[in-house]
Amino acid sequence: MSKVFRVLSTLIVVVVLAAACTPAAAPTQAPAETSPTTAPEQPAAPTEAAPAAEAPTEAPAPAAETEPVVINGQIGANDPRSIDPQRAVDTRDWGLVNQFFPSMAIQDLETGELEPAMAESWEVSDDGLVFTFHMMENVPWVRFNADTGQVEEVKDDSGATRYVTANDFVYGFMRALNPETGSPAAYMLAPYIVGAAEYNAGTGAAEDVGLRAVDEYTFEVTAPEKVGFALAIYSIINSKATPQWEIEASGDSWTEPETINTYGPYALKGWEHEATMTLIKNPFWPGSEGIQQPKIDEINLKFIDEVVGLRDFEAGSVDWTIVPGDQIARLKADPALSEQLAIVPGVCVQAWNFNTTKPPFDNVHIRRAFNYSVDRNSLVDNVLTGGQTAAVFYTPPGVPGAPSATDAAKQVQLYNPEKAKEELALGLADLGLTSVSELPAITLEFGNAAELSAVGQTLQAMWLENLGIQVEIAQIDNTVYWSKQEEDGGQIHRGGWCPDYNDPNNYLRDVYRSDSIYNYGKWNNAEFDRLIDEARVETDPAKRLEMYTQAETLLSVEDSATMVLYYAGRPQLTRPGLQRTFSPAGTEYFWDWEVTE
Amino acid sequence: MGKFVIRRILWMFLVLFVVSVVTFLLMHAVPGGPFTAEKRLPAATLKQLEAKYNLDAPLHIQYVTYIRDIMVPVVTDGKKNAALDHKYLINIQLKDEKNTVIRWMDFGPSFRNVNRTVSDIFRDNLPVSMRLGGAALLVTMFIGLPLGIVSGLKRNSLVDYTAMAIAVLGVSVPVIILGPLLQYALGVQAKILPVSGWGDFKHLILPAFALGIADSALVARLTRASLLEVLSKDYIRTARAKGLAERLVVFRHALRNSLIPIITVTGPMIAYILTGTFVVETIFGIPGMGRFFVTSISGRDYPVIMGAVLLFAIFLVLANTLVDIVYIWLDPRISYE
Repeated sequence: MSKVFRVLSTLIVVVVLAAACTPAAAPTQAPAETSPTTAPEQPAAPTEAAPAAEAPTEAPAPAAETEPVVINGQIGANDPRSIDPQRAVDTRDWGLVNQFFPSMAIQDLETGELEPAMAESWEVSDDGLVFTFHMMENVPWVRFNADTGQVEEVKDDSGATRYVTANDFVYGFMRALNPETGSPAAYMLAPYIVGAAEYNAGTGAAEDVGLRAVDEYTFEVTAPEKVGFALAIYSIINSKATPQWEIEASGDSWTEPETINTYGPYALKGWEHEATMTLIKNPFWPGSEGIQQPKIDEINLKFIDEVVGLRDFEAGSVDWTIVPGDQIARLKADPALSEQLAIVPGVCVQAWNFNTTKPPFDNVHIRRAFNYSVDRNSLVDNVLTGGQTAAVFYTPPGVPGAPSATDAAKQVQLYNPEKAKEELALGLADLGLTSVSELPAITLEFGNAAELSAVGQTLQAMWLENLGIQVEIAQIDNTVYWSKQEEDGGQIHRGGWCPDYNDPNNYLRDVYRSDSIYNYGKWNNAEFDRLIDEARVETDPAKRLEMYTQAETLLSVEDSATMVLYYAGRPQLTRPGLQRTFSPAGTEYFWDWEVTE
Repeated sequence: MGKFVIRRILWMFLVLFVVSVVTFLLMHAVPGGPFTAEKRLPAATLKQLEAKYNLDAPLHIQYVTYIRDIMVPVVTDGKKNAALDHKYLINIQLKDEKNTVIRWMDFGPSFRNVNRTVSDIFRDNLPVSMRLGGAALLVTMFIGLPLGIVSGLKRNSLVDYTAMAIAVLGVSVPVIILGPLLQYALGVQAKILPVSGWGDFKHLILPAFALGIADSALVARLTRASLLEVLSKDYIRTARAKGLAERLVVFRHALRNSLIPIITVTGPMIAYILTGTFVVETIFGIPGMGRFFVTSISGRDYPVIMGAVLLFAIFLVLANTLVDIVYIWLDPRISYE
């Protein structure tokens, strides 16, 4: 009798256990043990990484030898989209790709100058069209061997070490341009290499592309025209050497730890998708002027939300983390944490565009009225408080060739409710209206993010207060918003830009030229187009700066095609004793990091 | 019984067919595509990508291709091929002289994580969710059932009120509050358990508790209500009139019959909880399936949406079938023949 009871009382538990613990019960479930050839063997990394996460710098290591220096950090939520140089999508991907696959040159974080990374030196022909890179000759391809726990050189079929050659760079560049790769960054590279745009569009032949391996360690690129920032372009994300043999053998999945081949200062030790990635020092990287040999042996990167990252930081299980903007006030008030907080000016600009083809914003006075009545300082200090910097110009001041912050401030004192009202009156007169109530209904469109909704509501309130105009807010799903924007940007819609390369050309010409695909406000100004076209090929820095200052003023003040509001900040916490870089773009240079205590 | 199970499996395929068609049509009807981005791609690049992923084909062709890739197995020689290993969910190496490999179920690539396939996601991330979900179900049952039984038997006593207060609290405090509270108390302050991460048993405790507690409250209340109802039935009075010991009345007659509603809710619960929960996985930084149900839809990652939805449908149908079988066991009056 009691037997029946026992059966019943444990019944559910048994059912649950059976369902939970018997993967074979689910037909879609086929873990490695049922599929001998699958073998997506996770290297030992996950179990090794776990104890390390507990004790950041005192990871258990075999005694005697010097203990490896290990650090743990939060690096944003979700898996990176790709660490394949030619298919990486966002800035975080790029930062990781830089660890594994250095370009010919790399930008110095402080000076912004390009320094040799994979190249030893380079020269440019007198006409500025032919770039010849002399590569380091002793950089082997490497991979992490999970069995030995060591980073090893990659051997070819004959057993000889594979060194990174000019041909690997030609392959990498060509792979970026190959239409079949579908590289999201191809359009950046294509205009600056002879024949590349045609090849990428599928109309030109591979042989006509201006890339050449002169000899084993000399790589040559030919540009169709002389531009000042060509070298920056040849160092962007997809301009890397890539291992042809691995990609041909493993297809799209070649970036897994078992198959990836790299050559940069760090190699990929493990990658628990959606959880952690472990970088291990590549002892074969010889070091160069731009990328020295790393000092930290292992870096565990956790893919967790920044809110969770902050808690992990306070618990001591990560050494650095990005901080959610709404926590900054609390952190600043904390005596210990405020010391560890750094707010780095970012490179992304937040701007809201007017659609200059839609009434009433086809009228420049109405645009100016809206633009002049936005108090950027109040928005940044009272609403956002996440380390943003109030802005007027589209290109952030740190970008070489862009107007400096003081220039921008001198140029315009934009917030001016009186002037805004004057402009509004002029605009209404132009349109033959007597009061703002006769204006067409105005909608403010933006995608789905907490920050955007705060900005949207603030703009709405400022316009109501300063102009007496009530605008409607339409906040929609991001993907729906983006696809709508491609067809037809709303009357006022959220714009903004994160750069692909560090030059005002990328902020201004690539976005607001009348024929740019990112010109969602359909602004068309011949003077602006002329200025940025000329500045693009101008070699005198003083003249170039003058042109860009004029162009910026036209864009964001005189013509008010867009309202530049602020530059995003990157608030981060770092534990004491970890010397690190603070990259404005978020592409950290881990090889410069050091644990000092 | 065997016939019943077979019938249910056949029904499952019909359900999966309908679910897949509806999902397929819906996801393609939503504005925006997998390559719609804040920084839009040039038209030429977009076209190349669409061609690469067969997205330029008519919808019905895309659907048929998708189903064909899942259903039709392929046979390859034994040469090592990492690309195919990742592509297919099931790769069985035969022990013949050519080392033939039978590969089955290609759920397509992920458009968002471009170097991964949906099969990779199932292989790497689903077991994590199942382990977490299994642990959470144990928490649910070990807390919910005893609480419900005790308060049902001692109705309107202090024990009952206390147990039900706990249950109400459990239902009312959402995991989005409970999770961070647990993290803060035990992770940040006490430093007993890790705040986030995955791999060891210690990583499992907080999330399993956070995830299991809300459902345990539901189970407790349901058990109580059901037990009370059964206890007022005639056959219980008869049992008591016969002079059976109270212990036997409760455990043999009442409890068994009161389990039916609990089993009913457990079916869908198993499916939900084993396929991953977005909130708990995000809060605790757990690499489970849950996030894919959300990120795939916001990112229009078509193959991942299809994979996740089909996976959930299979779990749901199987869990419900299991529930139906348990009914027969619990109540001999129930029959499906």
